[in-house]
Amino acid sequence: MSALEPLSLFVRWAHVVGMAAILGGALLVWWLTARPSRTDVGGDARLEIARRYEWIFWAAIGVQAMTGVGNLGAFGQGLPAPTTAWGLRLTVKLVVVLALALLSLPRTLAVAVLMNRPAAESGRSQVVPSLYAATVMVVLVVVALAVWLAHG
Amino acid sequence: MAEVLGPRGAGSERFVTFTFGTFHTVIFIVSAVLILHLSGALAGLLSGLNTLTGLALFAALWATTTWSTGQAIRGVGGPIMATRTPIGAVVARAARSGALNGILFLAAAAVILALSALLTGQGDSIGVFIVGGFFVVLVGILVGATIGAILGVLFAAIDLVQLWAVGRLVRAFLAPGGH
Repeated sequence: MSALEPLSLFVRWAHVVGMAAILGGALLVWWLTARPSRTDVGGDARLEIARRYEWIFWAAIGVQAMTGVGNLGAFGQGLPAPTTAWGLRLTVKLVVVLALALLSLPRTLAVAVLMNRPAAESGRSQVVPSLYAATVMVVLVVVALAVWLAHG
Repeated sequence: MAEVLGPRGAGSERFVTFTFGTFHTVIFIVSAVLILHLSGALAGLLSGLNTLTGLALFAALWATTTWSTGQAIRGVGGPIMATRTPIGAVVARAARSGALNGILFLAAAAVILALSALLTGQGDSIGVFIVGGFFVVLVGILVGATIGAILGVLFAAIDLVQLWAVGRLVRAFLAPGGH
């Protein structure tokens, strides 16, 4: 067995784990922030959870980009051309990943802004769940494209 | 808005720096991969790199970009303060930090590629990196700094648009009568 084979397996594992953290975390934060809680009326605890998720999200999306390129490298010269059906799916996936990163920075900044706003301000409770709902939708598209690329 | 995102402590500053640094790295790499894929050059480029070298290059870019982003953010008093800083000052700071990032990454890439050549038994090609080292010093600094400066200004523009959008979004939601 080549010394690089375990590394390639690790790269694939890290890619899957990173996506699980992004999607699972976004779903959890959406659920927690959308659900009224008697013990967290102002939503401070939920915002703190959201802020912690943002650390995980950016670490994970960095790992996704790193390992994603590693996975493409495993194809070597056999990487399908952009004109093939697989190549077209890869193009779409890359565009959606770009959109996810571009739409995620405002979400992270919004969480940081809201953490410094008074809890009683109207609208605060609606902002955060909406942001994470949108994130879940975009991430689900990325996951669907990834599965299609891997098994389609 | 100025009070809400400015560095309030080491933890807050690390959070903002890490977020922007990772954002810049991911946008740059994914855009580069997309362009290379569409031009048909991706397979040739990736097949010339082994997995470990590729991961090390990415990690180096991530680290230098996050560090240089932190330098740029601190220089204008935090990301929100950047929206109140004269545009010329923001552009100059972004260009300077981007140029520094370009030089640092180029130097790191030269070291990583030289080590990779040694570790993969291509020691003969180390001469290329020694000659390349002179190239880096003489020409590479100029090239790395120029490309880095252009990207730094581009990302500063994207960041400012995003900060403006967040301000609008939060104000719209929190305004009396907002939904």
